[in-house]
Amino acid sequence: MSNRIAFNPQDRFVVSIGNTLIVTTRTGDTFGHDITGHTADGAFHFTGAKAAFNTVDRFVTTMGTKLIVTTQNGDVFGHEMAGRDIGVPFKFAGSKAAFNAVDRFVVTVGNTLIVITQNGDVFGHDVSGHTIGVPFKFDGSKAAFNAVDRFVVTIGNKLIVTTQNGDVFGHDVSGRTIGPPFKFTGSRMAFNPEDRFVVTVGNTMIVTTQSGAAFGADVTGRDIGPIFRLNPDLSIRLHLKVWTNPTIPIQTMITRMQDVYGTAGIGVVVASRQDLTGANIHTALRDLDVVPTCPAGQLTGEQIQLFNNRDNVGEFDVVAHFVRSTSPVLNGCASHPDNVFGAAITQIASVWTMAHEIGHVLGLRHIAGENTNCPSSIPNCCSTPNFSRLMTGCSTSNIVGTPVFAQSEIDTIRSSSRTRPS
Amino acid sequence: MPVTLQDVVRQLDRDEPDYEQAAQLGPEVLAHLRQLIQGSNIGLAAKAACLAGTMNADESVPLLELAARHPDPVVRVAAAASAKNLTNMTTSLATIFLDDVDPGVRKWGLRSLEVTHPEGIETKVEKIMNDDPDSGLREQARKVVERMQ
Ligand SMILES: [Zn+2]
Repeated sequence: MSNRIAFNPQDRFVVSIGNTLIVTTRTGDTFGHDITGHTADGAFHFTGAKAAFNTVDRFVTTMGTKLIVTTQNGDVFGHEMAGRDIGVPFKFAGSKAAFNAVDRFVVTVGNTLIVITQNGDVFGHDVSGHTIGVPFKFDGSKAAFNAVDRFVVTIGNKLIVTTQNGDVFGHDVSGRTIGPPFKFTGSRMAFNPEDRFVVTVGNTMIVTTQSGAAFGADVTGRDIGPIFRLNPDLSIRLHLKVWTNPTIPIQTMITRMQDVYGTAGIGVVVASRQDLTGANIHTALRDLDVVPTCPAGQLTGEQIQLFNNRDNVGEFDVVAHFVRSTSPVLNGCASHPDNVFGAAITQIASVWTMAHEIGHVLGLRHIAGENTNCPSSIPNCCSTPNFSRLMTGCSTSNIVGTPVFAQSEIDTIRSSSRTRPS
Repeated sequence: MPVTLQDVVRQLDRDEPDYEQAAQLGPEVLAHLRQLIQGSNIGLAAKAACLAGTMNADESVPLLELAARHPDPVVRVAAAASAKNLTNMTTSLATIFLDDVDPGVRKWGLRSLEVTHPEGIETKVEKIMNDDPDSGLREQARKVVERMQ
Protein backbone atom coordinates (compact mmCIF):
# COMPACT_ATOMS: atom_id res chain seq x y z
CA MET A 1 0.00 0.00 0.00
CA SER A 2 1.17 3.52 -0.69
CA ASN A 3 3.06 5.35 1.99
CA ARG A 4 1.61 8.69 1.01
CA ILE A 5 -0.15 10.21 3.98
CA ALA A 6 -3.48 12.05 4.07
CA PHE A 7 -3.56 13.04 0.41
CA ASN A 8 -7.20 12.23 -0.29
CA PRO A 9 -9.63 15.14 -0.39
CA GLN A 10 -11.94 13.29 2.02
CA ASP A 11 -9.20 13.05 4.67
CA ARG A 12 -10.37 15.18 7.51
CA PHE A 13 -8.33 14.91 10.72
CA VAL A 14 -4.82 13.66 11.43
CA VAL A 15 -3.83 12.76 14.99
CA SER A 16 -1.53 10.20 16.63
CA ILE A 17 -1.53 7.57 19.34
CA GLY A 18 1.82 6.13 20.34
CA ASN A 19 3.88 5.70 17.17
CA THR A 20 0.87 5.54 14.90
CA LEU A 21 -0.40 8.37 12.79
CA ILE A 22 -4.17 8.25 12.40
CA VAL A 23 -6.05 9.72 9.44
CA THR A 24 -9.82 10.01 9.69
CA THR A 25 -11.98 10.56 6.63
CA ARG A 26 -15.38 12.03 5.86
CA THR A 27 -16.68 8.53 5.23
CA GLY A 28 -15.65 7.36 8.71
CA ASP A 29 -12.96 5.02 7.42
CA THR A 30 -9.82 5.46 9.44
CA PHE A 31 -6.29 4.77 8.28
CA GLY A 32 -3.02 4.43 10.14
CA HIS A 33 0.68 4.70 9.42
CA ASP A 34 3.18 3.27 11.86
CA ILE A 35 6.21 5.50 12.32
CA THR A 36 9.52 3.80 13.01
CA GLY A 37 12.42 6.09 13.65
CA HIS A 38 12.18 8.65 10.88
CA THR A 39 10.11 6.59 8.46
CA ALA A 40 6.39 6.11 7.98
CA ASP A 41 5.11 2.75 6.81
CA GLY A 42 2.35 2.33 4.23
CA ALA A 43 -1.23 2.95 5.26
CA PHE A 44 -3.37 0.34 6.98
CA HIS A 45 -7.12 0.40 7.44
CA PHE A 46 -8.34 0.34 11.03
CA THR A 47 -10.92 -2.29 11.81
CA GLY A 48 -13.85 -1.67 14.13
CA ALA A 49 -16.07 1.37 14.44
CA LYS A 50 -16.22 4.29 12.07
CA ALA A 51 -15.13 7.55 13.66
CA ALA A 52 -15.49 11.31 13.20
CA PHE A 53 -17.57 11.20 10.03
CA ASN A 54 -20.54 13.29 11.13
CA THR A 55 -20.73 16.73 9.68
CA VAL A 56 -21.19 18.15 13.18
CA ASP A 57 -17.87 16.66 14.31
CA ARG A 58 -15.58 19.61 14.74
CA PHE A 59 -12.33 18.71 16.50
CA VAL A 60 -10.51 15.41 16.89
CA THR A 61 -7.70 14.82 19.35
CA THR A 62 -6.24 11.93 21.36
CA MET A 63 -5.54 11.23 25.01
CA GLY A 64 -3.67 8.04 25.90
CA THR A 65 -5.39 5.36 23.81
CA LYS A 66 -8.58 7.38 23.38
CA LEU A 67 -9.65 9.07 20.19
CA ILE A 68 -11.74 12.08 21.22
CA VAL A 69 -14.27 13.76 18.93
CA THR A 70 -15.98 17.01 19.89
CA THR A 71 -19.09 18.19 18.08
CA GLN A 72 -20.46 21.59 17.22
CA ASN A 73 -22.89 21.50 20.15
CA GLY A 74 -20.20 20.55 22.66
CA ASP A 75 -20.95 16.86 23.01
CA VAL A 76 -17.78 14.85 23.35
CA PHE A 77 -17.46 11.28 22.07
CA GLY A 78 -14.66 8.81 22.47
CA HIS A 79 -13.33 5.58 21.03
CA GLU A 80 -10.86 3.31 22.79
CA MET A 81 -8.16 2.35 20.29
CA ALA A 82 -6.62 -1.10 20.69
CA GLY A 83 -3.83 -1.82 18.23
CA ARG A 84 -5.39 -1.51 14.78
CA ASP A 85 -8.96 -1.63 16.02
CA ILE A 86 -11.30 1.23 16.88
CA GLY A 87 -13.64 0.65 19.78
CA VAL A 88 -17.36 1.44 19.68
CA PRO A 89 -18.13 5.11 20.31
CA PHE A 90 -19.11 6.26 23.77
CA LYS A 91 -20.33 9.60 24.92
CA PHE A 92 -18.36 11.34 27.63
CA ALA A 93 -20.32 12.31 30.73
CA GLY A 94 -19.80 15.66 32.42
CA SER A 95 -19.27 19.00 30.78
CA LYS A 96 -19.67 19.93 27.18
CA ALA A 97 -16.52 21.25 25.49
CA ALA A 98 -15.43 23.41 22.55
CA PHE A 99 -18.87 24.46 21.38
CA ASN A 100 -18.30 28.19 21.12
CA ALA A 101 -17.97 29.65 17.68
CA VAL A 102 -14.75 31.35 18.75
CA ASP A 103 -13.09 28.06 19.76
CA ARG A 104 -10.28 27.54 17.32
CA PHE A 105 -7.89 24.77 18.38
CA VAL A 106 -8.35 21.69 20.58
CA VAL A 107 -5.36 19.73 21.87
CA THR A 108 -4.43 17.64 24.91
CA VAL A 109 -1.67 17.84 27.50
CA GLY A 110 -1.65 14.86 29.83
CA ASN A 111 -5.25 14.31 30.93
CA THR A 112 -6.33 17.84 30.15
CA LEU A 113 -8.37 18.75 27.10
CA ILE A 114 -7.31 22.24 26.05
CA VAL A 115 -9.46 24.62 24.03
CA ILE A 116 -7.90 27.76 22.55
CA THR A 117 -10.13 30.56 21.34
CA GLN A 118 -9.68 33.08 18.58
CA ASN A 119 -8.65 35.76 21.02
CA GLY A 120 -6.02 33.53 22.64
CA ASP A 121 -7.85 32.58 25.81
CA VAL A 122 -7.05 29.03 26.87
CA PHE A 123 -9.56 26.82 28.64
CA GLY A 124 -9.10 23.37 30.08
CA HIS A 125 -11.14 20.34 31.08
CA ASP A 126 -9.59 17.59 33.15
CA VAL A 127 -10.68 14.25 31.78
CA SER A 128 -10.98 11.25 34.06
CA GLY A 129 -12.17 7.99 32.60
CA HIS A 130 -15.17 8.79 30.44
CA THR A 131 -16.00 12.07 32.15
CA ILE A 132 -15.15 15.61 31.05
CA GLY A 133 -14.43 17.91 33.99
CA VAL A 134 -15.85 21.40 34.37
CA PRO A 135 -14.09 24.03 32.28
CA PHE A 136 -11.45 26.25 33.83
CA LYS A 137 -9.53 29.12 32.36
CA PHE A 138 -5.75 28.92 32.29
CA ASP A 139 -3.76 31.73 33.93
CA GLY A 140 -0.76 33.26 32.29
CA SER A 141 -0.22 34.01 28.64
CA LYS A 142 -2.67 33.97 25.83
CA ALA A 143 -1.78 31.60 23.00
CA ALA A 144 -2.25 31.24 19.26
CA PHE A 145 -4.39 34.34 18.78
CA ASN A 146 -2.60 35.79 15.78
CA ALA A 147 -4.27 35.52 12.43
CA VAL A 148 -1.07 33.99 11.04
CA ASP A 149 -1.12 31.16 13.60
CA ARG A 150 -1.99 28.13 11.59
CA PHE A 151 -1.50 24.90 13.53
CA VAL A 152 -1.34 24.05 17.24
CA VAL A 153 0.02 20.74 18.50
CA THR A 154 1.58 19.53 21.76
CA ILE A 155 4.69 17.63 22.78
CA GLY A 156 4.83 16.74 26.48
CA ASN A 157 3.67 19.84 28.29
CA LYS A 158 4.53 22.22 25.46
CA LEU A 159 1.93 23.94 23.31
CA ILE A 160 3.48 24.43 19.89
CA VAL A 161 2.12 27.07 17.54
CA THR A 162 3.17 27.16 13.90
CA THR A 163 2.66 30.32 11.90
CA GLN A 164 2.10 30.84 8.19
CA ASN A 165 5.71 31.86 7.59
CA GLY A 166 7.05 28.76 9.37
CA ASP A 167 8.06 30.36 12.64
CA VAL A 168 7.31 28.07 15.54
CA PHE A 169 6.44 29.34 19.01
CA GLY A 170 5.96 27.46 22.24
CA HIS A 171 4.35 27.82 25.64
CA ASP A 172 5.14 25.58 28.58
CA VAL A 173 1.96 24.45 30.29
CA SER A 174 2.37 23.87 34.01
CA GLY A 175 -0.67 23.10 36.10
CA ARG A 176 -3.29 25.64 35.10
CA THR A 177 -0.86 28.23 33.80
CA ILE A 178 0.26 28.94 30.25
CA GLY A 179 3.88 30.06 30.22
CA PRO A 180 5.10 33.05 28.22
CA PRO A 181 5.67 32.44 24.52
CA PHE A 182 9.12 31.50 23.28
CA LYS A 183 10.36 31.05 19.77
CA PHE A 184 11.88 27.71 18.77
CA THR A 185 15.32 27.78 17.23
CA GLY A 186 16.19 25.55 14.30
CA SER A 187 14.04 24.55 11.35
CA ARG A 188 10.95 26.45 10.26
CA MET A 189 7.90 24.23 9.87
CA ALA A 190 4.72 24.06 7.79
CA PHE A 191 5.12 27.29 5.84
CA ASN A 192 4.19 25.95 2.44
CA PRO A 193 0.64 26.60 1.25
CA GLU A 194 0.25 22.91 0.36
CA ASP A 195 0.98 21.86 3.95
CA ARG A 196 -2.22 20.37 5.21
CA PHE A 197 -1.91 18.76 8.65
CA VAL A 198 0.56 19.09 11.51
CA VAL A 199 0.76 16.34 14.11
CA THR A 200 3.27 15.06 16.64
CA VAL A 201 4.48 11.52 17.24
CA GLY A 202 6.72 11.28 20.28
CA ASN A 203 9.14 14.18 20.01
CA THR A 204 8.77 14.41 16.25
CA MET A 205 6.73 17.13 14.62
CA ILE A 206 5.19 15.97 11.36
CA VAL A 207 3.84 18.04 8.49
CA THR A 208 1.75 16.37 5.80
CA THR A 209 1.13 17.95 2.44
CA GLN A 210 -1.68 17.83 -0.08
CA SER A 211 0.33 15.48 -2.30
CA GLY A 212 0.76 13.00 0.55
CA ALA A 213 4.44 13.72 1.05
CA ALA A 214 5.15 14.13 4.76
CA PHE A 215 8.09 15.70 6.53
CA GLY A 216 9.30 15.49 10.08
CA ALA A 217 11.67 17.18 12.49
CA ASP A 218 12.70 16.11 15.97
CA VAL A 219 12.02 18.62 18.73
CA THR A 220 14.62 18.76 21.46
CA GLY A 221 13.94 21.27 24.23
CA ARG A 222 13.33 24.54 22.41
CA ASP A 223 15.01 23.54 19.19
CA ILE A 224 13.61 21.99 16.03
CA GLY A 225 16.04 19.64 14.31
CA PRO A 226 16.67 19.23 10.59
CA ILE A 227 13.69 18.37 8.43
CA PHE A 228 13.57 14.88 6.95
CA ARG A 229 11.23 13.23 4.49
CA LEU A 230 9.02 10.88 6.49
CA ASN A 231 7.66 8.89 3.54
CA PRO A 232 10.09 8.96 0.64
CA ASP A 233 8.80 7.92 -2.76
CA LEU A 234 11.63 5.41 -3.20
CA SER A 235 13.07 3.11 -0.62
CA ILE A 236 15.82 0.66 0.08
CA ARG A 237 14.74 -2.65 1.59
CA LEU A 238 17.51 -3.39 4.02
CA HIS A 239 18.19 -6.73 5.71
CA LEU A 240 20.35 -6.76 8.80
CA LYS A 241 22.48 -9.80 9.56
CA VAL A 242 24.06 -9.30 12.94
CA TRP A 243 27.19 -11.40 13.56
CA THR A 244 28.40 -8.91 16.16
CA ASN A 245 26.81 -5.83 17.64
CA PRO A 246 28.84 -2.80 16.58
CA THR A 247 30.02 -0.21 19.09
CA ILE A 248 27.56 2.34 17.66
CA PRO A 249 24.04 0.92 17.99
CA ILE A 250 22.63 -0.36 14.69
CA GLN A 251 19.47 1.67 15.22
CA THR A 252 21.57 4.85 15.37
CA MET A 253 23.22 3.94 12.06
CA ILE A 254 19.81 3.27 10.51
CA THR A 255 18.41 6.60 11.69
CA ARG A 256 21.43 8.45 10.31
CA MET A 257 21.10 6.56 7.06
CA GLN A 258 17.42 7.52 6.88
CA ASP A 259 18.36 11.15 7.49
CA VAL A 260 20.87 11.33 4.68
CA TYR A 261 19.00 9.16 2.15
CA GLY A 262 15.84 11.06 3.01
CA THR A 263 17.46 14.12 1.45
CA ALA A 264 17.41 12.15 -1.83
CA GLY A 265 13.78 11.12 -1.34
CA ILE A 266 14.86 7.58 -0.51
CA GLY A 267 13.59 5.75 2.53
CA VAL A 268 15.36 2.97 4.37
CA VAL A 269 13.06 0.15 5.40
CA VAL A 270 14.37 -2.62 7.61
CA ALA A 271 12.90 -5.68 5.94
CA SER A 272 14.42 -8.24 8.30
CA ARG A 273 16.91 -8.58 11.09
CA GLN A 274 18.69 -11.83 11.80
CA ASP A 275 20.68 -12.47 14.95
CA LEU A 276 23.76 -14.55 14.13
CA THR A 277 25.68 -13.75 17.30
CA GLY A 278 25.01 -17.14 18.90
CA ALA A 279 27.84 -19.46 19.89
CA ASN A 280 26.87 -22.12 17.36
CA ILE A 281 27.17 -19.82 14.40
CA HIS A 282 30.19 -19.87 12.08
CA THR A 283 32.57 -17.83 14.22
CA ALA A 284 35.02 -17.81 11.32
CA LEU A 285 33.03 -15.25 9.36
CA ARG A 286 32.85 -12.82 12.27
CA ASP A 287 36.42 -11.73 11.50
CA LEU A 288 36.17 -11.61 7.77
CA ASP A 289 38.88 -12.01 5.17
CA VAL A 290 38.31 -9.36 2.49
CA VAL A 291 40.12 -8.29 -0.66
CA PRO A 292 42.14 -5.17 0.34
CA THR A 293 40.43 -1.84 -0.53
CA CYS A 294 37.29 -3.80 -1.52
CA PRO A 295 37.34 -3.50 -5.32
CA ALA A 296 33.88 -4.07 -6.83
CA GLY A 297 33.15 -7.67 -7.63
CA GLN A 298 36.38 -9.10 -6.14
CA LEU A 299 35.66 -11.37 -3.21
CA THR A 300 37.46 -13.82 -0.96
CA GLY A 301 35.97 -17.22 -0.25
CA GLU A 302 34.83 -15.91 3.12
CA GLN A 303 33.03 -12.95 1.58
CA ILE A 304 31.20 -15.32 -0.78
CA GLN A 305 30.30 -17.54 2.18
CA LEU A 306 29.08 -14.51 4.14
CA PHE A 307 26.71 -13.35 1.39
CA ASN A 308 25.48 -16.91 0.90
CA ASN A 309 23.66 -16.43 4.21
CA ARG A 310 20.83 -14.96 2.27
CA ASP A 311 17.60 -16.16 3.86
CA ASN A 312 15.00 -13.43 3.36
CA VAL A 313 17.06 -11.20 1.09
CA GLY A 314 15.06 -10.62 -2.09
CA GLU A 315 16.37 -9.97 -5.55
CA PHE A 316 16.28 -6.18 -5.30
CA ASP A 317 17.08 -5.91 -1.61
CA VAL A 318 20.25 -4.81 0.15
CA VAL A 319 21.90 -6.70 2.99
CA ALA A 320 24.17 -5.31 5.72
CA HIS A 321 26.30 -7.93 7.46
CA PHE A 322 27.51 -6.63 10.82
CA VAL A 323 30.77 -8.50 11.33
CA ARG A 324 33.26 -7.89 14.12
CA SER A 325 36.24 -7.08 11.93
CA THR A 326 37.75 -7.45 8.52
CA SER A 327 41.28 -8.21 7.48
CA PRO A 328 42.66 -5.80 6.44
CA VAL A 329 41.00 -3.64 9.07
CA LEU A 330 38.17 -1.55 7.60
CA ASN A 331 35.05 0.18 8.93
CA GLY A 332 33.13 -1.48 6.17
CA CYS A 333 33.49 -3.13 2.79
CA ALA A 334 31.00 -2.75 -0.06
CA SER A 335 32.15 -5.68 -2.21
CA HIS A 336 29.36 -8.14 -2.84
CA PRO A 337 28.54 -10.97 -5.24
CA ASP A 338 26.74 -10.07 -8.48
CA ASN A 339 23.49 -11.59 -7.28
CA VAL A 340 23.34 -10.21 -3.72
CA PHE A 341 23.72 -6.50 -3.11
CA GLY A 342 25.17 -5.58 0.25
CA ALA A 343 28.11 -4.66 2.42
CA ALA A 344 29.97 -5.78 5.51
CA ILE A 345 30.05 -3.30 8.38
CA THR A 346 32.49 -3.78 11.25
CA GLN A 347 32.32 -3.17 14.98
CA ILE A 348 34.49 -0.04 14.67
CA ALA A 349 32.16 1.59 12.10
CA SER A 350 31.27 5.26 12.47
CA VAL A 351 27.63 6.38 12.67
CA TRP A 352 27.78 7.08 8.93
CA THR A 353 29.72 3.99 7.76
CA MET A 354 26.64 1.93 6.89
CA ALA A 355 25.12 4.78 4.88
CA HIS A 356 28.48 5.29 3.15
CA GLU A 357 29.03 1.63 2.28
CA ILE A 358 25.52 1.27 0.94
CA GLY A 359 26.23 4.39 -1.11
CA HIS A 360 29.01 2.34 -2.74
CA VAL A 361 26.59 -0.57 -3.17
CA LEU A 362 24.21 1.78 -5.01
CA GLY A 363 26.97 2.84 -7.37
CA LEU A 364 28.61 5.82 -5.69
CA ARG A 365 32.36 6.35 -5.59
CA HIS A 366 34.37 8.56 -3.28
CA ILE A 367 33.99 12.22 -4.09
CA ALA A 368 36.64 14.05 -6.11
CA GLY A 369 38.68 16.95 -4.85
CA GLU A 370 39.95 15.54 -1.57
CA ASN A 371 43.44 14.73 -2.79
CA THR A 372 44.99 17.97 -3.98
CA ASN A 373 48.74 18.09 -4.66
CA CYS A 374 49.37 14.68 -3.18
CA PRO A 375 52.82 13.09 -3.54
CA SER A 376 52.95 10.45 -6.26
CA SER A 377 53.61 7.69 -3.71
CA ILE A 378 50.41 8.60 -1.83
CA PRO A 379 47.87 9.62 -4.45
CA ASN A 380 44.95 9.61 -1.99
CA CYS A 381 46.53 11.71 0.73
CA CYS A 382 43.32 13.48 1.86
CA SER A 383 45.01 16.88 1.85
CA THR A 384 41.67 18.61 1.18
CA PRO A 385 38.95 16.44 2.74
CA ASN A 386 35.29 17.37 2.55
CA PHE A 387 33.48 16.18 5.64
CA SER A 388 30.15 17.61 4.55
CA ARG A 389 29.76 14.74 2.10
CA LEU A 390 28.67 11.18 2.86
CA MET A 391 30.94 9.77 0.18
CA THR A 392 34.11 11.32 1.56
CA GLY A 393 37.04 8.96 1.13
CA CYS A 394 38.73 10.57 4.12
CA SER A 395 36.70 9.25 7.09
CA THR A 396 33.01 9.51 7.77
CA SER A 397 33.90 9.67 11.47
CA ASN A 398 34.83 13.32 10.91
CA ILE A 399 31.43 14.25 9.50
CA VAL A 400 29.62 16.89 11.54
CA GLY A 401 25.86 17.29 11.13
CA THR A 402 24.01 15.49 8.36
CA PRO A 403 26.17 15.07 5.25
CA VAL A 404 24.83 15.76 1.78
CA PHE A 405 24.65 14.11 -1.60
CA ALA A 406 25.48 16.02 -4.77
CA GLN A 407 22.68 16.07 -7.36
CA SER A 408 24.69 13.69 -9.56
CA GLU A 409 24.91 11.27 -6.64
CA ILE A 410 21.16 11.56 -6.03
CA ASP A 411 20.56 10.77 -9.71
CA THR A 412 22.80 7.71 -9.46
CA ILE A 413 21.23 6.20 -6.36
CA ARG A 414 17.66 7.00 -7.42
CA SER A 415 18.26 5.17 -10.67
CA SER A 416 19.74 2.12 -8.91
CA SER A 417 17.75 -1.08 -9.16
CA ARG A 418 17.96 -1.21 -5.36
CA THR A 419 15.92 1.94 -4.77
CA ARG A 420 12.34 0.95 -5.47
CA PRO A 421 9.01 2.76 -5.37
CA SER A 422 7.78 2.81 -1.78
CA MET B 1 59.43 16.24 5.70
CA PRO B 2 59.06 14.16 8.85
CA VAL B 3 56.01 11.95 9.10
CA THR B 4 53.72 13.20 11.85
CA LEU B 5 51.19 11.32 13.91
CA GLN B 6 48.53 13.31 12.07
CA ASP B 7 49.82 12.01 8.73
CA VAL B 8 49.41 8.46 9.98
CA VAL B 9 45.96 9.10 11.45
CA ARG B 10 44.86 10.69 8.17
CA GLN B 11 45.72 7.45 6.41
CA LEU B 12 44.12 5.16 8.96
CA ASP B 13 41.03 7.06 10.11
CA ARG B 14 39.08 6.27 6.95
CA ASP B 15 36.26 3.89 6.29
CA GLU B 16 38.42 1.87 3.94
CA PRO B 17 42.12 2.56 4.58
CA ASP B 18 44.57 1.58 1.85
CA TYR B 19 47.36 -0.06 3.83
CA GLU B 20 49.68 -0.47 0.86
CA GLN B 21 49.45 3.26 0.32
CA ALA B 22 49.85 4.04 4.03
CA ALA B 23 53.02 1.93 4.10
CA GLN B 24 54.47 4.34 1.55
CA LEU B 25 54.79 6.90 4.36
CA GLY B 26 57.92 4.90 5.22
CA PRO B 27 59.57 3.53 8.35
CA GLU B 28 59.01 6.73 10.35
CA VAL B 29 55.41 5.58 10.66
CA LEU B 30 56.35 2.75 12.99
CA ALA B 31 57.14 5.07 15.91
CA HIS B 32 53.59 6.46 15.77
CA LEU B 33 51.94 3.07 15.53
CA ARG B 34 52.97 2.18 19.08
CA GLN B 35 51.14 5.23 20.36
CA LEU B 36 48.02 4.39 18.36
CA ILE B 37 48.02 0.75 19.48
CA GLN B 38 48.15 1.96 23.08
CA GLY B 39 45.60 4.73 22.54
CA SER B 40 41.96 4.79 23.56
CA ASN B 41 40.52 4.67 20.01
CA ILE B 42 39.99 0.95 19.34
CA GLY B 43 39.46 1.46 15.62
CA LEU B 44 42.76 3.30 15.23
CA ALA B 45 44.54 0.77 17.46
CA ALA B 46 43.33 -2.09 15.25
CA LYS B 47 44.23 -0.21 12.07
CA ALA B 48 47.69 0.63 13.47
CA ALA B 49 48.26 -3.06 14.20
CA CYS B 50 47.15 -3.86 10.65
CA LEU B 51 49.59 -1.34 9.20
CA ALA B 52 52.42 -2.60 11.44
CA GLY B 53 52.03 -6.09 9.96
CA THR B 54 51.63 -4.79 6.42
CA MET B 55 54.96 -2.92 6.69
CA ASN B 56 56.80 -6.17 7.53
CA ALA B 57 59.70 -4.32 9.17
CA ASP B 58 61.93 -5.48 12.03
CA GLU B 59 59.94 -3.26 14.39
CA SER B 60 56.70 -4.86 13.25
CA VAL B 61 57.12 -7.89 15.55
CA PRO B 62 57.29 -5.96 18.85
CA LEU B 63 54.38 -3.79 17.70
CA LEU B 64 52.29 -6.87 16.95
CA GLU B 65 53.29 -8.38 20.30
CA LEU B 66 51.98 -5.24 21.94
CA ALA B 67 48.75 -5.43 19.95
CA ALA B 68 48.48 -9.17 20.62
CA ARG B 69 48.18 -8.38 24.34
CA HIS B 70 45.53 -5.70 23.89
CA PRO B 71 42.43 -6.16 26.06
CA ASP B 72 40.10 -5.68 23.06
CA PRO B 73 39.83 -8.72 20.77
CA VAL B 74 39.30 -6.46 17.76
CA VAL B 75 42.90 -5.23 18.15
CA ARG B 76 44.23 -8.74 18.80
CA VAL B 77 42.44 -10.08 15.72
CA ALA B 78 43.95 -7.25 13.66
CA ALA B 79 47.43 -8.15 14.94
CA ALA B 80 46.98 -11.85 14.21
CA ALA B 81 45.54 -11.19 10.76
CA SER B 82 48.31 -8.83 9.70
CA ALA B 83 51.00 -11.20 10.98
CA LYS B 84 50.55 -13.18 7.76
CA ASN B 85 52.59 -10.43 6.08
CA LEU B 86 55.63 -11.04 8.31
CA THR B 87 58.63 -12.85 6.88
CA ASN B 88 60.18 -13.10 10.35
CA MET B 89 57.26 -14.36 12.42
CA THR B 90 58.55 -15.48 15.82
CA THR B 91 57.53 -18.52 17.83
CA SER B 92 56.61 -16.35 20.79
CA LEU B 93 54.29 -14.12 18.72
CA ALA B 94 52.62 -17.10 17.06
CA THR B 95 52.19 -18.70 20.48
CA ILE B 96 50.39 -15.65 21.84
CA PHE B 97 47.91 -15.82 18.97
CA LEU B 98 47.34 -19.56 19.21
CA ASP B 99 46.85 -19.36 23.00
CA ASP B 100 44.30 -16.55 22.75
CA VAL B 101 40.89 -17.15 24.34
CA ASP B 102 39.21 -15.60 21.29
CA PRO B 103 38.59 -17.97 18.36
CA GLY B 104 38.96 -15.11 15.87
CA VAL B 105 42.53 -14.51 17.06
CA ARG B 106 43.33 -18.23 16.86
CA LYS B 107 41.82 -18.39 13.35
CA TRP B 108 44.06 -15.63 12.08
CA GLY B 109 47.02 -16.95 14.07
CA LEU B 110 46.66 -20.24 12.19
CA ARG B 111 46.24 -18.42 8.90
CA SER B 112 49.57 -16.67 9.45
CA LEU B 113 51.27 -20.07 9.64
CA GLU B 114 49.89 -21.35 6.34
CA VAL B 115 52.79 -20.13 4.19
CA THR B 116 55.78 -20.25 6.53
CA HIS B 117 56.05 -20.98 10.21
CA PRO B 118 58.61 -20.47 12.98
CA GLU B 119 60.42 -23.40 14.57
CA GLY B 120 58.73 -25.12 17.45
CA ILE B 121 55.13 -24.04 16.79
CA GLU B 122 54.00 -27.48 15.55
CA THR B 123 52.90 -28.80 18.94
CA LYS B 124 50.70 -25.71 19.48
CA VAL B 125 49.01 -26.25 16.14
CA GLU B 126 48.54 -29.95 16.87
CA LYS B 127 46.95 -29.07 20.18
CA ILE B 128 44.39 -26.89 18.39
CA MET B 129 43.82 -29.67 15.87
CA ASN B 130 43.02 -32.09 18.69
CA ASP B 131 41.50 -30.00 21.45
CA ASP B 132 40.05 -26.72 20.19
CA PRO B 133 36.37 -26.31 21.08
CA ASP B 134 35.75 -24.75 17.63
CA SER B 135 35.42 -27.46 14.98
CA GLY B 136 36.29 -25.05 12.18
CA LEU B 137 39.58 -24.24 13.90
CA ARG B 138 40.37 -27.92 14.45
CA GLU B 139 39.96 -28.48 10.72
CA GLN B 140 41.99 -25.39 9.85
CA ALA B 141 44.78 -26.58 12.19
CA ARG B 142 44.72 -30.02 10.58
CA LYS B 143 45.44 -28.46 7.19
CA VAL B 144 48.29 -26.41 8.65
CA VAL B 145 49.79 -29.53 10.25
CA GLU B 146 49.57 -31.39 6.92
CA ARG B 147 51.39 -28.58 5.20
CA MET B 148 54.08 -28.48 7.87
CA GLN B 149 54.91 -32.15 7.40
ZN1 LIG C 1 34.17 4.35 0.83
